[in-house]
Amino acid sequence: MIAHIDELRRRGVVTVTMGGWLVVVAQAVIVVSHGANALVALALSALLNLIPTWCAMRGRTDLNARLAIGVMAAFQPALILYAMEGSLWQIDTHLYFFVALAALTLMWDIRPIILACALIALHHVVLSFFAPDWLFWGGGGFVRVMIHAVATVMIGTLLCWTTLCLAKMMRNIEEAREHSENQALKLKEAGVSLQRALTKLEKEQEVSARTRAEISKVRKIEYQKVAAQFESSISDVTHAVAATANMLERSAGELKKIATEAGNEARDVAQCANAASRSASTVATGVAEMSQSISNIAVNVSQQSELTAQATDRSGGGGKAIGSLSQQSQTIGEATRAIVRIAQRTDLLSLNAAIEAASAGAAGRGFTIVAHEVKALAGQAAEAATEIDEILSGVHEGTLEAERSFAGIDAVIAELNQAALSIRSDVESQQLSADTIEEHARETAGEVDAMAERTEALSQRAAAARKLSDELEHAAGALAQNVRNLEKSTEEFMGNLQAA
Amino acid sequence: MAMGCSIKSAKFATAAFAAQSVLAVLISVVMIFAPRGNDTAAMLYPMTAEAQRALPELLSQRDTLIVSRAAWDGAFVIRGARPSFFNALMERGVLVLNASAPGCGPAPQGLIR
Repeated sequence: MIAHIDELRRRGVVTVTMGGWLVVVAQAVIVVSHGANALVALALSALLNLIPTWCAMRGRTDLNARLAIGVMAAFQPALILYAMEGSLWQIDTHLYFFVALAALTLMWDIRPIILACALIALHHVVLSFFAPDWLFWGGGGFVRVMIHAVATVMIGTLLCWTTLCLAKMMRNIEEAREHSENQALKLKEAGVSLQRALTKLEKEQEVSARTRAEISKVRKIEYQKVAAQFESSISDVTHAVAATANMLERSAGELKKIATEAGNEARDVAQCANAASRSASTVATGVAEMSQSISNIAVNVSQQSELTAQATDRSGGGGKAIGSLSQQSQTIGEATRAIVRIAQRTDLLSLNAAIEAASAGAAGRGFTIVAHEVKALAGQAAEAATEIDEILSGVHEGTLEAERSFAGIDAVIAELNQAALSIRSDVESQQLSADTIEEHARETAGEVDAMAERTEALSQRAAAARKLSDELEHAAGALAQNVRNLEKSTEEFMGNLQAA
Repeated sequence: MAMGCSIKSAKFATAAFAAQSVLAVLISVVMIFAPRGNDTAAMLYPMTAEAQRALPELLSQRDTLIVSRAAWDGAFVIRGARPSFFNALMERGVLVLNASAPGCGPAPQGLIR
């Protein structure tokens, strides 16, 4: 699409220049057909095309370029005529002047047309004076030249008018187009501004998104780093705490075990202490009792001594009594024998009575029974008297033996008295020892009691320690559970943190 | 800088138009003064001293007839076979002109006797 008149002029420059080179091609054909005379025309035609070609290649459409094109358009047909000199067709080639003038309308400017018209008319007039044969073969005269010149001017005028109208129309079109282009440009600028704003907004959004992404990335990296450090530290801490908890739990268990054992041992010791205390008390009591017994023994020994004396006395008395008893027993023996004799005579008497009762018959039956009873009593009395005698014999022997015994008793009592004295001395010594032992036993019992109290306290403390170790074990277990919960929470936190 | 370029470009354009104008004038001169192909008469003008010394050789051609001295000093008007315009100019420094062009005819007193 042609944008404006400059573009048309640019195309016109190119087109007319190409027309000039077509003339060169035509000149080459003429060289072939007409010989060397056209060679000069060919060279000149080519020279004449150089500057328009330069303008066309440079895209120049300014006034000078257009005038140069006009000069070229005015002289190319002249060179054709020059090359066609002597040909019957030379006069016909004048038509190409009009073609050249018409081609200059492509410049959209009347000045190249006017220039070309002027040059055409001028060189026709000049050549009509200097080289009429070259201009019109066989000559044409001034009138002929003027006819051509007037026609050229008329055509030039019409072409100028047409060009002006077309240029005016083109300018109107350009103005309208420029107006529309301005509007479009404004719209485009607005669009560009809008697009720029959108681009800026998009860039800002991209930058913001990138910044957010970078911040998020950096934050994530920092989170991960912090999480790793946190995890590492927490892991270390949890492991340390878990190890500590386990160690604490084991220690609590061992402490509990030790406390239990200590409690048991303390209890055993307390029991032993109590037993020892009781034993010590018992010993003390026993020693006291022994001391008392020793005192009693001492007293008894004293009493024994006295009793020994008394026993000696009484033993003497006993001897005497035994002697007297021996005499009495002899007397009793004699009485007993008298009784035996009486019993024997009673037996005889009862026998006589029975004989007499039997003689009395039935009336004597009761008496017979009494006689029998008396006989039985007499037998029993004899037997008892015999037994008494026998007893008296034994008593006599016993008294003898008692006398011997009393004599031995006296000796023994004497020895006993002697031993009692010795015992008394020993008892006194034992009394002192027993008192000392009692005192030590009481002290020992007190110390054992104190030890028992301390052992009890130790047992209570062991119990407290066991209770404390239970609590410690429970706390260690709770701590281990808390550590596991902490590890689980840490893992969840790490998972959430790493997923964030 | 753009204005400088514009001025420079305008100068070039003016020079181009001037060169085109000069070329047009040259073409006109060539068209007026160059000998025609079918012309038998021509004026030979030596442009240098060497050309002036070489000119007799050109004139000694068998078909060349010296008509007269030309109005220009050292130039001759000939008829018959004439050397080529470009060859004579380039090789001998002799300018071959149209004898019928203004000023290129024989001198009034130039007839060779």
